[in-house]
Formats: sequence, C-alpha cells, structure tokens
Amino acid sequence: MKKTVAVFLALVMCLTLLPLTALAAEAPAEEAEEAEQVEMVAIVAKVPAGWEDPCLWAWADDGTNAFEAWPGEEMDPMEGEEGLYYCYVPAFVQNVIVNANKGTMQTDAIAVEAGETAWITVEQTITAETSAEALTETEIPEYVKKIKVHAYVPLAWESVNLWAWADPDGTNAFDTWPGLALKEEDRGWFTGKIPAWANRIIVSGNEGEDDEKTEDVTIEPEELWITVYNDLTYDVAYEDPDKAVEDVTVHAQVPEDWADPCCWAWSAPDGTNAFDAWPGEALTAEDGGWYTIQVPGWINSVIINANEGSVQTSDLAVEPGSELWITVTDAENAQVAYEAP
Amino acid sequence: MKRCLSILLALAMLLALAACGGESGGDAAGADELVIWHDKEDAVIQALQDYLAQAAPELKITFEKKTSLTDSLKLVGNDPSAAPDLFIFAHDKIGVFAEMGILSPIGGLVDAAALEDMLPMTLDAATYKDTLYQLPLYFETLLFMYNQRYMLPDSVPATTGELLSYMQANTGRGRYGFVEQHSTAYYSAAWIHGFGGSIIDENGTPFPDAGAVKDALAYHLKFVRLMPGETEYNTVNTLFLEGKADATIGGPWMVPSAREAGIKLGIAPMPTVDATGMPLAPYSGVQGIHVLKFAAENKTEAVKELLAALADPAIGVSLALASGCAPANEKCYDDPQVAEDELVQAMRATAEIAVPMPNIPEMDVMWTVTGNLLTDVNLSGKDIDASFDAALAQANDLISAMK
Repeated sequence: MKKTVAVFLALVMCLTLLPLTALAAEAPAEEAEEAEQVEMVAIVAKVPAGWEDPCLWAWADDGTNAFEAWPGEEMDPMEGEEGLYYCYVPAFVQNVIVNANKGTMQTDAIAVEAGETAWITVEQTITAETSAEALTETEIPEYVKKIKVHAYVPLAWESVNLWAWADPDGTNAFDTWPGLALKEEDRGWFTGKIPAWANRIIVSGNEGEDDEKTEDVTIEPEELWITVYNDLTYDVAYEDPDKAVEDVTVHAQVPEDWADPCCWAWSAPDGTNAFDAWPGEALTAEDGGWYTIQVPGWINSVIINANEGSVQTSDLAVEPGSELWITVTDAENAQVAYEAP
Repeated sequence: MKRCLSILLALAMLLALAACGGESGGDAAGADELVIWHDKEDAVIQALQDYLAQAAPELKITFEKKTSLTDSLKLVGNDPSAAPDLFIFAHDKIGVFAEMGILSPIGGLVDAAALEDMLPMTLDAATYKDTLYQLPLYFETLLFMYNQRYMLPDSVPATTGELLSYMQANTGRGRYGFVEQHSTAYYSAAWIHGFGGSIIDENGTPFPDAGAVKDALAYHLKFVRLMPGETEYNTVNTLFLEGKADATIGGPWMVPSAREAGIKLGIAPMPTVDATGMPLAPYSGVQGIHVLKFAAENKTEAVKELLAALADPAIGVSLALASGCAPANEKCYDDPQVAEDELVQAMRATAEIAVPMPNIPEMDVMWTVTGNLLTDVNLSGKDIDASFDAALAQANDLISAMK
C-alpha cells in the first residue's frame, strides 16, 4: 500500500513540476519582453533660438545612464510649437542635460522627478528651469519605440528620404511620400528615426525624382545601416560598417638565442602590411618568458623574427581579430594557440 | 695571435654563411638534387611541386621560401655551399645579379623552340644586354579595377578625360571616384608611359624624354587633387575594399581580397590619354626561374630537364588555375578554363601595352629619385620644372656614383 501511495505521490509531483518547467523555459523571453516594456516618461524642453537639433542626456542618481553615448537621445519637435521638443526616457531617470548643436551647447545637470513628466525651459545661458506645469496645451505624442536608420547613398542624391511602413497591414510611419528627410551626419551617412514596428523601408534620393529609390527593403526592428549603391542595389547591416576593427594582442615565446624579437604582420592575399618595414615592430618582454605586441585586428598572417630579422618563422596563418599565443621552438617550428598555454 | 684571429674570423664567416643558406644546392648535393629559392605564395609553389612530381620525377627538388631573397643572394650567391641552384623571382633584379656574375645565361640550357611560344614582352623582360637570363613562368601587371555597384557600365572610362569627369562627379562625402598610389613610382610610371616618356631607358639614361615626363606630371596632378593625400598601399587598398572608392589601379593580388569583401569587381582596359592617344601603360613584372652559374656548370643535365619541364604550357595552365597567374606561354590561353578567367585574360590583354620593369642596375636608384619627384610635385605642391631638374641632377649623380 505504502509503495502504491509513494508512486502516486511521485506522479503527482512530476505532473506538478511540468508546468513549472515550461514556465522556466519561457522566463527569458518574458524577461526580454519586460525589458522591452520599461516604463517611459516624457521630458519636454523649450530651447532658445540657435539651439539646433537638441538632444537629451539622462541618468539616475546611482549613475545608470539612459542612453549609450553623449549627446544622448535626439529630441523630437512638438508639432506647431516652435522651440518645444520632447523625448521619452526610462522612468528611473532623475537627472537630465539638454544640449544642442552636436553637444557643443548644454545646460547644467537638471534634477527631475523620477517617473514624472518634466517640463524644462532652457535660458540663453546654461541655466534651466524645471516645472511640473505644462508649457503648452498641446498633447505630448504617445511614446513609440524608435530605431535609428543610417543611409549611405549615391553622391548624386542631394537629399535623402526614408519611407517606412508595417507589412502586411500597411500602416505608414509618415503621412506623405517620400517620408522623413534624413539629416547628413559624419562620414557621409544620413540618419533618421522610424517607429520600431515598421518592417519595410524605401530609401529615396532627390525627393524620389527619376525613380531614384531602392526597392522595398525588409528590416529587423534594430538600429541599421543601409548602403545604397549607384545601381540602386543595397546592403543592410545591423552593426556600423565603419566601426574600426580593434587591435589584438600577439604573445610570443622564442628560443633563448633569438634576441630582440620582432613581429611582422599582414593581411593575405592582398599584402596589406601592419608595419612599415621589415622586420616589423619589436615585441615587449613580459613575465614568464613571453613577449607581447598589439597588432591591427584585420591581419591574418604573422612572422616572428629576431636578431635583426636574420632568423624567422615561416608565414603563420592566424584568425583575424583573435588574441593569440605563438610558441616558437625554432625557425621551422612554431605553434599558434588562441588560449594561453 | 694573428693566426688565431684569422682562424676565428674565418670560422665566424663560415657560420654566418651557413645561417644565411639554410639548405643549399651547391657541391654537397647530388647532381639530380636541385634547391630552388623563392618568395612566392603557397598556392604557386604547390602547383609547381605537383606538376614537377609528374613531369620530372627523377629530380629531387626542394623549394625553400626566403623573405629577403635578393639580400640573401647578394650575400651568398657566389658561394656554392650556401647558395641555391636556382631561384624564382621577378625579372627586375636580373641586371644586378648578372653584373655580380652569379647568373648563368639560359640560352644553352633550354631548347630555343620552347621559347617560341613565350609572350614577347616576357622575353624582353628576361633579357639583359642581349642575353636571356630567366625562363619566364608568369607575369603580373596593374589593372584598372572598379566596383560595379558604383561605377555603372556606361560610366567605365575609356579615356583619362572621362575618368577625370567621373572623379569630379563622384568624389565627396568621404568617398572617392578613383584612387591609386599616385605618388609611388611603380604606379606613376603608367602615366609617364601614357605620355610617351619613361623613367629610365635601356642604356641607363634617366628620364630620356624630359618633356613627356613633365607633361605627364602636370596632367596627372588634376587627378591627384581628387584623391586622398595619403598615398600608401594600405590606404588605397582599404578605401577600395571598404567600398569607399569606386575604382582603382591595382595588382591582381587585390582581387581575392576584393571578392572576399563582397565587391562586385569589374576589370576594364586602361584608359587612353586624350592628348596622346596612348593608353596608361603600367609596368609588368615577369616571374621566372633563374639559374646560378655553379648549378649550370655542375648540374647541367638536371637543370636542362627542369627548364624543359617548366617551359611546357601545362605548368602555365596549372599556375593560372591555382593562383590566377597570367602565364608567360601564349599557348596557355587556349585552355578552355584559362580562356574563361576574366582576370587572367585581362592581364593577357594588358601585356600588349605593359612595359617590363627595367632590369638594369641603375633602376635601383630611380625608384627613390622618382618617388621624391612625385612627393615634391603631388604632395608638397612644388614647381614641376624645378622639381624635375633637381630629380634629374640627383639621378645623374647617383648613377655616376654606381660606376
């Protein structure tokens, strides 16, 4: 009897655990969704004449920043209200700085009530007043999560516009074609923001004249970089294509009679060299008999040499962008590892 | 004491020579054992090894890669115990090594009929003072390359005037219509040749047509102003590979990287200079095998057998397919697979206009002299006439000093 009860109880426990297991599997997705749904509150600022393209930098008292990098989030103009801009920030924000003209003009830090809409009036000086009272009767547009779109376009395009919509329901992000006028930023990129619910875009040039536009482009709801070529084909990337490849460290151990070891590094097969002239750059002696040197992350071939280049390894093929450890036994034998031996 | 010192010095020299040599050909090796130095990529050597294993199975051939091959040869070329038997290198050092007395003419080592199918440009390159010193294997020239997604078919320039117009319309916002290493002698030579000039003639006279060189410099300056001031290989290469430059003049070695970078690569004939009706004519480098004197005299049969095998079109086809090399043997281009290779065929077409790099020793000083002239004119904005006169005087001084 006891045995039967025990088996029965075990079955009940297993059945009870099943939904928990399912819930556990779902938990990360829920967390991610929750993270997406952080409470946002509006900050509205009235800026003086001459403050172009205002941005908002925001943070909590514990130092948590609302945005990745200075000058922060670009503020949107409130329709029909000259000099009035708004921006949504996470509800934890307790301090803001309003800045403009690519961060070259800014207020002092302004304390705001966490979780409350703040209305800020920026004076010509760096001072600003904050108040709970609205500066206008115009309603602040509802919070819509937005993504940045960067476009690199043919030089013949003097202006660049972005059209965005949700497929298949056909909701448009902008009222009229050709949509949002993108602003020219650094390095020839044009940038603007669209609602994150948009999953199709068209980039057009010169107000869409002469069919100067891409076909319908399907996108993910993430910041993206689209390169439009002269033949109107395009590439979409979700990481900045111009972001420099970071340097990597090369560690090397060489035989005792290899004096003043140097590193020669290049990219094969095009032959782009990391250093100007053979035998390359001298390595720096570290603890434990190792030498190190920083090399560009794009190299894929290395020679370790010594004695003013008179003794050397053969060409060593290496993975680009990886820290590596080279153990040189002699000129003919060298081992490459991607973890410290 | 002096005797001890002499012995010690002699020992030190022997040790130094041994270090330079690694494995050598020389008298210690057997008559059918050949050591070949080279500085080539793995694909080229693998193709040669695979081919020779079939074509000359009785020869024991060792390929040895040398990063600073010419420096090593200058040190040990006369020492059979440390020198190789043969080496594979570009033709432009033939004059230096011939004057050093370490090279053997190959006329008596290879059947004259085997040379009949070689492209004339490659044999010209391999000849120094009317003597053939190299069996050409393949050659390289600069090519006009463009990104087809930026430079559309109706924009590919047939003339330098069209190229200039394209650059004016397509340079800005951090990108360039066309880039090249404009202040490097190797690249600038194409423009000088396009005006009928040259950096040095076969008699060692620097800038034999002064007017042509000055005209080329003045005209080229219009293009230089639309290119980045930085003229290093890395900069130009990176701009093109990152899609920040629509077109470039570059070597075939850029092609694999461009394809890997997703560039939709086009190759076009060199534009013609409007003023002269002549195309931009780049230098060509002819890669081939050279025989050292000791091996020619002491391993004659083995060397002859090797050269006969390498003169066959089959190896040219293998090299073209394995590494995109443009074969020196004209018959290779009849191979169906080679005929389909756009890059190889483009180099074959460029061979008609390319100028072999001068192989006389005096050219060594002209790289520096011409580089300085280009820096003065293109980068420092100095007067062309004055800069040219200074460069010519420097060239004459340096060449006189060589003699």
